[in-house]
Amino acid sequence: MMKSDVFDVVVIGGGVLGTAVAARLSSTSARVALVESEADVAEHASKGNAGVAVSYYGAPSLQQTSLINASNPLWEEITARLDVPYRRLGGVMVALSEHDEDHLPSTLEEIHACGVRGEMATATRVLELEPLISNKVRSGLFMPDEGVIDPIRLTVAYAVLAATNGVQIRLSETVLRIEQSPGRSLVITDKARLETRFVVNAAGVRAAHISQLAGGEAFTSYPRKGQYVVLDRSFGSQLSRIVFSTHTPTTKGSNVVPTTHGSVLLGPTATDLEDADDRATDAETIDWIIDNAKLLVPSTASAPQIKTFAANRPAGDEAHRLRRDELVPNLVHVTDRSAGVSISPAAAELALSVLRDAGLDVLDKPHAITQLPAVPRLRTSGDPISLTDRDPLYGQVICACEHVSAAEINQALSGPVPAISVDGVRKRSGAGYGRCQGSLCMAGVSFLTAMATGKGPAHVKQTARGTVGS
Amino acid sequence: MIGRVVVVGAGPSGLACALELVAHGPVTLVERTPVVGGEVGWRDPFMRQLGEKAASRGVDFALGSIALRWEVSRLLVASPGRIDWIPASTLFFAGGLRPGTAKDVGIHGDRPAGIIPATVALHLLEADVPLWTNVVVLGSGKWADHVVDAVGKLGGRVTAVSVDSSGTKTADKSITNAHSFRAVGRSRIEYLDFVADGLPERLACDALILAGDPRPNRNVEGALIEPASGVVFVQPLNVITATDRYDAARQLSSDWLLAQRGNA
Repeated sequence: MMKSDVFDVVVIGGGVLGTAVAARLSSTSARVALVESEADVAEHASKGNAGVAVSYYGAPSLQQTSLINASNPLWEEITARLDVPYRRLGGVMVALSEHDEDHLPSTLEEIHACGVRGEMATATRVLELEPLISNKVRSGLFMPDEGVIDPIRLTVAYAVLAATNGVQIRLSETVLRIEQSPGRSLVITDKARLETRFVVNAAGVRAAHISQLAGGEAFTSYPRKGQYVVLDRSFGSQLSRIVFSTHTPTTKGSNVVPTTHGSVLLGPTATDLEDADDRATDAETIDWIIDNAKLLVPSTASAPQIKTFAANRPAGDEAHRLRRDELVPNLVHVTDRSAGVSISPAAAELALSVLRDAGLDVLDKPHAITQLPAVPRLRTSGDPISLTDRDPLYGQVICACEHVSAAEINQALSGPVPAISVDGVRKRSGAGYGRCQGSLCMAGVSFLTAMATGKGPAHVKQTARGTVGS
Repeated sequence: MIGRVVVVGAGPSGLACALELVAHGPVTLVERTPVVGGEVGWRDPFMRQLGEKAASRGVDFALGSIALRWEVSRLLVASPGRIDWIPASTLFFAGGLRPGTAKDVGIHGDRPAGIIPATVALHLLEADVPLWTNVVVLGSGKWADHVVDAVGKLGGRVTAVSVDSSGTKTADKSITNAHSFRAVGRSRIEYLDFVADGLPERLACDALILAGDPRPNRNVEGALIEPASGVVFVQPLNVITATDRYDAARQLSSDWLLAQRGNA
């Protein structure tokens, strides 16, 4: 018989919403565990998205919209506190045809109905805002409150904050069954039996499955694949705004997005799937993304393409579901379609108040940690010469493209939610993000990861799932 | 007077530049690893001889140092325990070549563990630990030959796949004129799918080594793309052997010196 732990809340899912809820709960007296089936937080959609902290996404009546509105003004403060890269760049939605132009007024109307800043822009104004946009532009919409964020660092930071305040982060642990008794749930995983008063379902594309295990509402959630192309920073340094395709009633289109690392992302596309593990790219879709980006920003055509990838975001019958289950009173769903990053601060706050309404009687901890120590980054440091005084290993650069030092990599491999794979190091430090895609640094990162995780060169993990050797 | 020149990379190209230039002014040679030789390797007698010659002629060595940022007239260099600027009038960048990435080569499909750049595979295999038993080496040329040898030495089986008609002779099996690559595997790589001679093919494997489509290493901010102010790039793509790379770099440096005198 496995031993049974007792919690106030078990959060299922280590994506951006699950970790945000765990971080918020961690500043209360609640005893909390977060369960994630992958070996790291920020896998799947929280790793593979465009990294836009949007100001506007959907209709004004949606709960999602009020959560975006409540989160958007907080980004500067939150990201400074959690050491997460963020830039409020502003975005331009570009109309290239008469057909596109027809959609702009209704989009602007909706933006204003959402209470979000936005204004029509003439072609001249669009090109002032972002000179790289195609000179075939007819007009556009400027949205000054759009920003770019590192969604992976955000998710890891939420998890680290949660763990620092005492939340148990349980990785590589799969929920098999959930047994209900009045006022109690027993979450049975492949490793333990977790007795809890409340369950938070933040399982993303698998949210319907978790609801079913708990005997909750039957709803549909399915994976929607998005493919992306990454352009080199030599191009990224020239682009200063997010460039959006015109929204139409059927699609929000593929975009051109500067990242906080200096690269540029093209995408995403949208293909509904049944298999959440299907993260394959295909040549036709990638070619389409590149062609579409050329129409918006013609100079993307000559920019070096350094990587392609795909990820699956949750789609389903509702754009957003943050409420108590109608059948199981101690089950709270926290799922969202496409805007998880953008709603995460307010969604976490709302999740706590829903839990309190449901009977979670917890107090705010007066001495909870709310700020994480900032790790200086060699590449962006204004004073690189002094970094070696702090740690001599800042002088030992492992990733030549992104200028990531052994000091930063060792930081990624330590702390309460450490990297346990080469990819985990990449997610936290940026080592391997660059144009050579690890051909210079992967041996070094693999060595440091092997040292930190106590593995040999064959058994060190390359990704959350797979080892370097076979 | 040309002032101090900094050369990045102590392979055959970088050493050739340093030797040619040091007769006309001070030279600092910055090298990422603790030894000279670059991709040819520090054990190579020709490279050792070049290193000794450079030292005896007064080239200043900054080994185990990596160049980070070029601003005209100075280079930011990091080495363990120290990050500092080196003043220099010109940067000769001889940072060598790297294999093409999955994107460069056009590999679609899954992104499992076990897809490894040849430069990394060689580094790992040098430790004499058998990592894989059934390897696909994608691409031809010197990295491919070296990986085939290293895997074979540790008892692994290798299939060499190339996009052109040049095969890899020492591999257990060689497939040429392949295209439309697709990796298959959810955790670790299981297969490489592709088309050869108009027919779809599937190869089972436990590692896919990227060993083709050489590209210049470019990682110094301010010297990423050509042309860059105050930077001479010494990274020929089609010059293969160490002696040919040495000769080509020596010629390029000598031409540059002549042009400098013409300008003066």
